[in-house]
Amino acid sequence: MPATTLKRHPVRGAIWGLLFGTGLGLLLMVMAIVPLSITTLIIYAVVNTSLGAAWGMFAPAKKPKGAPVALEPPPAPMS
Amino acid sequence: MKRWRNLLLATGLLALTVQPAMVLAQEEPTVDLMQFIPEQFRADFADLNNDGIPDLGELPPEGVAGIWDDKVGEVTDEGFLAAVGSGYASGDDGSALTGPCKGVVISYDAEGMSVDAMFDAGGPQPLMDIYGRQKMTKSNPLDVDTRGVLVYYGSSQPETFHDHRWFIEAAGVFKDDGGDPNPRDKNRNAGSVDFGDLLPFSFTALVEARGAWVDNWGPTELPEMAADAYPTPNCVGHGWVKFVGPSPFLTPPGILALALVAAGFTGVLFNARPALSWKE
Repeated sequence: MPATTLKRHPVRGAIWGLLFGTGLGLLLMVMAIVPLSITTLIIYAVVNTSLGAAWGMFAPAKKPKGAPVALEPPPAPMS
Repeated sequence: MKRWRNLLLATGLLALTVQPAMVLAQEEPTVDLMQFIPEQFRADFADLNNDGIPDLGELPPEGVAGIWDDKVGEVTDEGFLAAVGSGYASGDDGSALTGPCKGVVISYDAEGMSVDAMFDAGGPQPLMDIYGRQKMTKSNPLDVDTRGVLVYYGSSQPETFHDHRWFIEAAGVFKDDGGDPNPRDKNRNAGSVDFGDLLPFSFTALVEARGAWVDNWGPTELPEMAADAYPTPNCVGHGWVKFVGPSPFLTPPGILALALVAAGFTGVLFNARPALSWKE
């Protein structure tokens, strides 16, 4: 069975999480579901940044794309 | 499956039928705000949208006295208290106005239709809406149209503040402060605030507002503190205001929020997941 390597993306996850959290906080505020407050917005951003980083580390991994790289056959024994 | 579909359909139809009826079932006002409008102008301030609050409708021509105008000082303390009643009990500590301050506030939309109204009878009694519920709490905030106008009548009777200082702030939206030696011994005032002119764009948000007005404080800025920490007499209040605009998704903050949520969600889902790759 061909071997695979796992690449994790905690920084990407944190950045996307930060955007998502800030947007979610702002959205809930403009819908008047939560009160307008900078503290609340920061809490949403920080929590979602952490969740994004954790997602980038521990989420189920995507399957590898394409066909496995063919391993070169071992050199033929010298006669 | 069919049964579930029919149940869902029936629930939806029921909600469509019952919900508007419940919303339309108008409460009876316990306070008649029409009492504050001079009798000769009452015809101009009819309750067009049937919410118990007089609407501005078409504004009278410039120079003609209108709502809250009190040129001869005919709104006395006794008259005001007789108009709004008394004996209201506070059931929620989410809003309060302490001290001698009292008054009425009505908010209107850009077309002059009433949006909301409230009053305070002074003393320890809470802020109330005209239907007899405590006002400016988190669950019953004062609705203010961001394109509309807010008109008010306020009084500190029987006290008259001199050399006073005040501040008012709505968390994250605005803060203002000021003061006056008050050489003319004014103890009541009426006016309007045009949010359409003040705010750069419409938005919807629930904000906590607070403010204080202290007699004999002098010119220095008023710090935020508890009512009993200020010299007396003073008025200290706090409560919730809901700024109401058009659909939140059509306002600049709403569009920005939606864009951030969409970008962040897409990024987390498709660009941040760990990935396996074939070992070379």
